[in-house]
Amino acid sequence: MVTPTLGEFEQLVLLAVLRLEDDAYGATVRREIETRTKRSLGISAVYTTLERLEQKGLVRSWTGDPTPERGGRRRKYFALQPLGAHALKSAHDAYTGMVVGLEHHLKKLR
Amino acid sequence: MNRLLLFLIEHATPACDREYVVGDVVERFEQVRTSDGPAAARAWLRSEAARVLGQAIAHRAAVRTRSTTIREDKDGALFSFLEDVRHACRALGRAPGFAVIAIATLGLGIGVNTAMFAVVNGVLLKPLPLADADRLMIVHLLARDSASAPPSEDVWSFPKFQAFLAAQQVYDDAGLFIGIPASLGGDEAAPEPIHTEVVTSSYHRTLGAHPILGRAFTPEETDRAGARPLVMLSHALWARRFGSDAGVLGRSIPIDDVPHTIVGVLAPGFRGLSGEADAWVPLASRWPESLTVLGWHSYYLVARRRAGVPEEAARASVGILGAQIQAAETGSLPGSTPGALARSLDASRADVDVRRASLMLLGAVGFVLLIACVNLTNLVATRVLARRRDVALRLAIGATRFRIVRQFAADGLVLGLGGAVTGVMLSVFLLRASAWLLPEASVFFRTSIAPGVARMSGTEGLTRIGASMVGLDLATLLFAAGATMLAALVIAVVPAWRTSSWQPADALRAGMRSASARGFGALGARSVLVTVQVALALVLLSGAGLMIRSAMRLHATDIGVRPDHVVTLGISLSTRLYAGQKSVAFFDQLIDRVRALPGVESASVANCLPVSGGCSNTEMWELPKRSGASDGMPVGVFWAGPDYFPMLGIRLTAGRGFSRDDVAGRPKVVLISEAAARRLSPNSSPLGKIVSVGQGRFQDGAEIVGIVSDVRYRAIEEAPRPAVYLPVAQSPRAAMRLFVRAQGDAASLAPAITREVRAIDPSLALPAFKTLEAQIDDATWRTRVAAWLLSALAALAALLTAIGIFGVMAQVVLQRTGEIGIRVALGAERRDVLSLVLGRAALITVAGLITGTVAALALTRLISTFLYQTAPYDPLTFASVAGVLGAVALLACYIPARRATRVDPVIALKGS
Repeated sequence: MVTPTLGEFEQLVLLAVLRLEDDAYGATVRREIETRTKRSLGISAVYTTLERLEQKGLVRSWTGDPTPERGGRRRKYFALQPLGAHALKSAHDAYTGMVVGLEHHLKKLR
Repeated sequence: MNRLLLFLIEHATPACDREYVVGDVVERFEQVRTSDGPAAARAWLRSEAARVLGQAIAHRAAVRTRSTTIREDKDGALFSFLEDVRHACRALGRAPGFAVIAIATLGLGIGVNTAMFAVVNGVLLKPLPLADADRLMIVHLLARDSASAPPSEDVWSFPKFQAFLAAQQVYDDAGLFIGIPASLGGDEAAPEPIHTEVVTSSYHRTLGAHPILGRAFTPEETDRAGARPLVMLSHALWARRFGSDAGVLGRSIPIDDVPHTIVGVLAPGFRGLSGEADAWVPLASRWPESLTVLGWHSYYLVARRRAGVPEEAARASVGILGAQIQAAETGSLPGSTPGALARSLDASRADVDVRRASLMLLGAVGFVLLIACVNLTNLVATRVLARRRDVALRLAIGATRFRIVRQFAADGLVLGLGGAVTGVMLSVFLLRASAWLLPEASVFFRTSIAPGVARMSGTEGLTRIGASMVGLDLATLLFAAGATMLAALVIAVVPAWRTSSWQPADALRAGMRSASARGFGALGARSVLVTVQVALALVLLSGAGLMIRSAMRLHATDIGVRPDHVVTLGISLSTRLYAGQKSVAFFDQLIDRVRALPGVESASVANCLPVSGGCSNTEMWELPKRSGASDGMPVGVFWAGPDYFPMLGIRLTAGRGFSRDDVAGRPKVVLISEAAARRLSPNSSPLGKIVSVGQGRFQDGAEIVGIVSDVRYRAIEEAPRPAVYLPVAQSPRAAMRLFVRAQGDAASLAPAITREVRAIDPSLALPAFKTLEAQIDDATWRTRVAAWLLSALAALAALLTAIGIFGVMAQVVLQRTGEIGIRVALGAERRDVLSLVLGRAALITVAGLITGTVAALALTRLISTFLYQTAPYDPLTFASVAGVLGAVALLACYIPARRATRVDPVIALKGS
């Protein structure tokens, strides 16, 4: 099985889905990334990426029940697929592999 | 919560994610409102909406790659139209041949139109760069040579101008000006030829041209005798000669050897009404004598109409006033003199002929665009047929007709935009190239300001025409955009209209069969379009044919001189330093030195170039004046050296030419032209007669010693007028023209001749050399350029038409392959098949040729003023262009016809 390589934002979205477990839907994924990376995102960007990840088989989605705080609209939940977990792991390995021995330098960088 | 923003977010999101995205937005909005308050929540929503809109296309793209099924369109109109545009782009990408042909065709049409419009805009439409230009008027006096002659325009003298100013009540301000060449000395550099305008102080004020540095002239400096010489500089001259130094004010520079004090610098771009002025000098210091001489007619008058005074009222008032001024001079009654004429500067800026030529060419390029659009419509219609099945499928699964029509509109838009970009790039290129077609220096507007009034001889008009006047500006780009919209509409409307009546079932059936003459108007509409194309092309070709014939006739016209290997150079000596016989000595010395140069065959001087609009005119009488004789005979008067006639190939038909003995102190002699001889004494030889010539101090009489052949001094198109030649040695002139005939290349003699001139007088400013052939080229410029441009446009039209015919005939053959197959199977000969296809083509072509001939006969009248010795209905031209177009049409049919003859009945029948 070929492991798909991930873009930076795809990694962030996958990490958020992983972290949120059962509660991963558009708004929570966005909030998770915004608070942790101090970036401001548009909701469409999150959905665009989740759409792409789903097409690649890295996540799966299902629809929840309508809730009153959303004006009776449903949520679309996402969860990591095994291929997604694998891709995330190899991306992380690649990153940490490159970082080994550079921690000191990286700290000094502004 | 802002409903509008939420609506935007909802419709910017693809339908499949709409519920979740809007739900997320609502949820977050409530959270922000609870934590940070309603204002912060509203601000957040605004930024969220902006982000969603920004990512809408990417979101859609991501969703689309997943969905392979055809979705019923629930998306917002704008976004789905964008999708249509993307679809159109992809479809064009899949058919690169079609895309290239379509965009190139349209680009050509839009490009030539944009370029031509830029010319018309620059020459005719763009507001003049002067303050309140709509109130500026040019005023000419009118004069009449004899009681029966039509009035002709005349310029003003200063005393008459003052009389005009004192009496007029319709103008705020008025000024005099005349452009003259001068020589700017100073520094160590060689003297530089410049253009000056001699003006009154009111000139700049009238035009609203104020100095950016220093000051303008005062009335004391320009209008009173004894004023010291001053000068105002153009911005260009100030920058070039003085490095934009603000310290030039008060400095003295020699103009024509007279020191002038610089008092001001004008704003960039202002070059006076002559359009080429480098400097302005006051009338009073340049020609103080002209301040008092009533008959010193030298100046143009420009005036600013009072606000609120209608143009018509100003014109009427000027007419009456002019008549009074002219009557006061001659002592006659005001009613008997022609008066004066005023016309708005804007209307008189372009010569009637230039205006007409520009509009004619604009019409011609419009035809080319029409032909291009017809071609595109045909091309697109072919593609619609090919996409029939696709359309049918979409209709069958429930796409609305609006949706289908919108797709065609998107196709038209994409093609139109591609064509517009190509076209604007092409027009930039064409405008650059026009610098070569429009010589900047030698073509002036010659404006006759009212019908029936003769133009002043040799007067330069108001503005010069040149490439620098023409460029892409906002108006031109708007024009290009308009042309594009029109083209896109034409491209989109026909297929949209056609397909809108299709029934899905029929379309599917027809689509499956893929080749049928039924169901699509049986090509009738397309045949009509091609007929129209042939007709349009024929109109253009006839115009071009007539112009080419005129240009050929012009070229073949004998102007009376042998122009090859002759180079000429104007030399203006200072009248102060070279008074009287000093100038004769100068030119004698110069001729001797130049003649000694290697490569020179002969050299002489004269004052006037052939085909240059003419030089001086006067009257000639036979002496003794018979009692009761009417006015003298109007003649062109020319000054020439002894060798001028043999050198230019002007034949001596009777008597003798000028000799070296015809000098001051000897009996005065003149030569007359054959035309003058015929007028002067139709029945006897004029040789030996004594005539009085109105110029050159020859009024007291001179003997006619010879007759020379006619020369066309005014224009190639104009029959030679009576001319009289004075020997320059007996009537010295400071401004003459050196003519040199070379053994080899004439232009290469220029440096050596310059050295000889400088050897005699290093202070002389030398204007450019000109070969006589270049002068003749300039004189045929208008006809030649019009012939060139029209021919190029006509060739383009013929090519586009050929493509159109080819396309339709290829389609005919393709659609009738089955029928042809059956005919062949039933024993039809190759000849029969050929005549089947060609017969159809011939029908279309002949119909087009007939329509086109009728249209051309009506339209070529409009260009009759450009024709020379060619009738606007010239049968030979019409027959030839019809023949050429017919041949082109046949050629275009040849390939489809050949294909038809090779139809294999077995394959054809299987296919249907």
